[in-house]
Amino acid sequence: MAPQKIRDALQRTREIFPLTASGLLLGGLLYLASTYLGDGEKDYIARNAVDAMALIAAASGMATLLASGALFFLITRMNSGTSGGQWETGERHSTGFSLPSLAWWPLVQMSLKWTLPSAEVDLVTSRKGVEEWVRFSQRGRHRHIARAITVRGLFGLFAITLRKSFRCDYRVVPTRSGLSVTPELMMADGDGLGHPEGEPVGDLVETRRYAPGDPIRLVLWKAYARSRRLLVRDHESAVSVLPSATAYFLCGPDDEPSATTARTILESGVLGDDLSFGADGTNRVSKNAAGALEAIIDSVHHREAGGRGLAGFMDSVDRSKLRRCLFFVPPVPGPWLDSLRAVIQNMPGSPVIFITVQGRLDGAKGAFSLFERRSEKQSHDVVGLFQELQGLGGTIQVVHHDEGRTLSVSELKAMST
Amino acid sequence: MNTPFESRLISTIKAILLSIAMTIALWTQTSPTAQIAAVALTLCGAILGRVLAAKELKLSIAIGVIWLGFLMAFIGPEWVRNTSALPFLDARNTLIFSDCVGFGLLGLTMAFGLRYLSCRWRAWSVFEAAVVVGSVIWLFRQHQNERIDRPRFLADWALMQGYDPTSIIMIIGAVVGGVAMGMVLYQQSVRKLALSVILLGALGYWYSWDQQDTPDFCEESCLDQTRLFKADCLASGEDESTCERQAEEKEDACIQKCEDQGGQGEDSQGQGKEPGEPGTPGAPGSGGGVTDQMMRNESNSSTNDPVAVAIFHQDYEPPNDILYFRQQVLSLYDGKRLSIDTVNEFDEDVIREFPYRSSIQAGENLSEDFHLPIHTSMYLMADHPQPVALTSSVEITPTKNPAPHKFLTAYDVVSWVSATPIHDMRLLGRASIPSDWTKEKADHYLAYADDPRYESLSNELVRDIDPRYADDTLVKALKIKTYLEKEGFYTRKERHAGVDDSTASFLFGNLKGYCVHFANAAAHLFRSQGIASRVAVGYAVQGRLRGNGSAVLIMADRAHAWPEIHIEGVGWVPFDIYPERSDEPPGDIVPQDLESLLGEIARGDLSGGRADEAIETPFEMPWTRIQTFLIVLCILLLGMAYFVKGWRKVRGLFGSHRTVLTYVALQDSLNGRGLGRWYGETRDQHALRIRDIVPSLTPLTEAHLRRQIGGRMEHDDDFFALCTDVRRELRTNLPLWKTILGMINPIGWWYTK
Repeated sequence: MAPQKIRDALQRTREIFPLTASGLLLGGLLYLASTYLGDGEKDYIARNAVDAMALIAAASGMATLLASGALFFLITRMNSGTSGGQWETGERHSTGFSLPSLAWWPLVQMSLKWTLPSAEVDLVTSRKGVEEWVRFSQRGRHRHIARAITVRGLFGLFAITLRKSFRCDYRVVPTRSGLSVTPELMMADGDGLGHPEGEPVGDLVETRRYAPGDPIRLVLWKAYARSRRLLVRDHESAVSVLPSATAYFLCGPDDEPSATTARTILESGVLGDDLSFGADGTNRVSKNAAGALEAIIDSVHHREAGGRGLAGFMDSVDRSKLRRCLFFVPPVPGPWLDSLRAVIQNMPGSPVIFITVQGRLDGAKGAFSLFERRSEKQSHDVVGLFQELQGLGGTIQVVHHDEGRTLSVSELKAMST
Repeated sequence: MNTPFESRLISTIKAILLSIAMTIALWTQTSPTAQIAAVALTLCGAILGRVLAAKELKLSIAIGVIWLGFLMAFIGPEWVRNTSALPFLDARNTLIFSDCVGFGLLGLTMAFGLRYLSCRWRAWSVFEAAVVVGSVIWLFRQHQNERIDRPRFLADWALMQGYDPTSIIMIIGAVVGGVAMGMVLYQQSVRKLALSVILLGALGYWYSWDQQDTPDFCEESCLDQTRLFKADCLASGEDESTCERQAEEKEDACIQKCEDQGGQGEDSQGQGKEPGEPGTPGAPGSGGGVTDQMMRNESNSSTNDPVAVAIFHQDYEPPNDILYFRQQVLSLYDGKRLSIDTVNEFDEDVIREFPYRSSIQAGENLSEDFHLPIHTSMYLMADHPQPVALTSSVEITPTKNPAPHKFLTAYDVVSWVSATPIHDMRLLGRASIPSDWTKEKADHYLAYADDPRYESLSNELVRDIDPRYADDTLVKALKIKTYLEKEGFYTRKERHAGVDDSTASFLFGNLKGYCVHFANAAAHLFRSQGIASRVAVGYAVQGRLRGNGSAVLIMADRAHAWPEIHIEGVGWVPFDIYPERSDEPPGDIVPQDLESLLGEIARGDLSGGRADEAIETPFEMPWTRIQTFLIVLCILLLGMAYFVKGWRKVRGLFGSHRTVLTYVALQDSLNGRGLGRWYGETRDQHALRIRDIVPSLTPLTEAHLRRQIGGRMEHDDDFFALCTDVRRELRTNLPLWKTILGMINPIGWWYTK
């Protein structure tokens, strides 16, 4: 796209143009002060202050140019310095890449960032120079690391950014979270509710939901008083154990916490051995946690078209398994919502939907919050999404990524306001 | 929450600097109570700005608060002064309280706004720096335009001590510039900051040192003279290469003369100041001289710098209360306008060169009957292409420059000033062109534009002269002068720019213009009537605008152009035009304090009359001593470092802890060669890391640790044998240059932990 190309070209130009906005502004002010006060009014304070500031700025600019030249020379002769492998999102990893620290190079400082993939980079000083530590914010599979090394003057008036792409095969998987939540899945047939972590046989509860025509004497009133559900004692009817489940990962913006939750639940084994897992962008049904994890990683490129593969997946799965279905959805509405709505209407059972959110839980507690800038993540209307999903008939579990627990509606509202 | 990019240390420094800036800005503006309130609130505002930026206060809210703060800062004091809600405050305290409210809110809002915005966008830090510099500029603003007697609190003290106030102000400016750069600092380690400050200090020192080596005034003048010589040479029809060679020879000789003179003490010749140097009074050319420059000065009334000081050695009252200080004359009609006679064929009465060693005399004598000899001394404060002197100067002699930091050059002048007013009857009946003038000379002073309107107008003007004086030079000139004075309108708004003949545009147009137009028009009309005339350029100082002392301060806004006519037996007579109508306000009165001060300095008292006794030796920074001290200090530190290094190396040879000390000495050697321990590295890890180079270090380290921690101990001889092995391995396994560097390195031991 032409505008994008122009933007990229401008960005590249700006990166190698040594003056920053501060530098240009200071230069302009120095010129005005020199012209109108120094020369115009013969003000020696202005004249000499301008001279001193210009001298310092020039020294800083020269040091920046020299340092960036030296680094450029070094970087063009560097290989990746990073061994491939697997890293996890949210965790801090050393990549093995190092640079000269420029600690004894006056008037300049250096920073490093990854332009592809996106990652938060720290430079840790060591005797070798500075070592690169990264923290990934999203999953993916990559063959290159594009690094942008910025040499900036001490005063921020000059900055030059050098870019170089390094070849390196690696993948970033969603990290495991400290989740203490289990999906409220029915692991047995009939109306009985089995504990999902319990043994499939022997933990059965011999009750079922009240159905019209049931004798009223069989109603468990004590249970009704506790749960407001009409349960009836059932005779020792045959119960078929259902140690399997179906799960689908829907992509969308901010779905990394959701991916983390999905991985954690998948690897915990609560979904049983006979797993059917799908994710957007993968046209296959994964039968185990490892395959599911790969599907989750690959789904990262399909965020724009989240939910597109859901209908196909549902068609490919045995319909009897759909009674124990689990969806991992992003906290932000998107195209996936329409797909999910269409699928749920035709499902034989009521699915469990996991929304994973992150952000400050105490967002609305201080009066100052009214005057705060709000980050994009916090500004999503999660409550609206929750209510909309609830209307579809599923069991909604909203999990907080950092807390690792289910949030109540009031907590969710507090977070969103 | 995004953390602001500044560290707490830098934020604190910036908050303090803003508070200091506020203190400086209010120093002479309000009461101490209000100052304290303003500074305290500025500090609070700065802290608040940083904290709220860290807490991600919305920009719209912050902008609203800033606007409200500024509004309150303007409304608040007014309300305090007019309200009846504060009956317990008397008039004085009400004023103080209103200042507290006004300046306090101003400081609070400004500091809050700047700190908040600069924490969010770095570029705003530049405005913080501007505030710091601006506050100091504001405090010292009175010194602008060469007012070296201002501000009094600094100038009086400096002069009494024999310091040059301008130099002190310049140093303050440089320091403030350096400090202000701290306002745009990024988060930075203390080590790098210290390193950078040392480097910048060295750079500043080099820069100030380098500034002293720029070409001096004498050499600049040589270049000017060479250019003039080359132009003359080419105009005389010589070959270009010949002219080039001669010009180069002349320039070399002149510069050599300057160097010789400098070696003998250039101050004695009055040429100790570089034009254009920061701190030099007046930028190059600010003294005017040529017509274009004059026009610029004329059109810019804000140019009001002192350009020269004249000391009169005898009483003199000019006939019309105006002192004419002439610099150049424009006598050559070049086809378009009157310009300088670069060929130097005529205008022998004008001294064009500055004197360096001996005096220079004018080539034409003036009549003693009509002139008085007046002795003056001139001290130029701005660069001028030709010497400025009371008209008409006949001899210029170099004299001692008492303050080379203040005056560019100094010379004594003997002038033959007019002793008779222009309406003196003795001037009547004289021709303009003497009989001994050559035809070329007469033509030179009579040439004017090939435009019949000049002659037609002048004929019309002299038509009704009394027939008895119909051919009299003076009467005709007076008639023309009267016409221009009556009909002309003095204004600086009319420039007559962009036309071929600006004189015709003025004279045959609306007759509105300034001195250059009047002078040129008069010269043209005089010439059309056969009166030899030219335009003089310099300064005209009115007696009523100056003090009564013998020193005359010439300000740049006194730049002037006036016509001169030649009368046989009398010489060149200033024949200035005084238009009766003008839209210009009267000229500024010369600051008499400054006039007196500069006069005293010119007379040799560097305190400008402030000190009880005259100070004749200016204070000078002992840079050489400082330099020597720094060099000696460096040598001492280096010597100490080597001494410690040597001592640590040999102390293992004796004493009670020989093994430990020998081990430490080995660690010193390793550090010197760049093989020292890293931060956080254990001795074992260290030995393991460099085992390829020094394999024996591992058993030695183990032996050392066993001795320190406890365990089986080898015999001392075995330990020393291991040490010897390590030394040998260092010698053999390391390249020679690293061994040499290790020996040279004076601070390797510093890193031994």
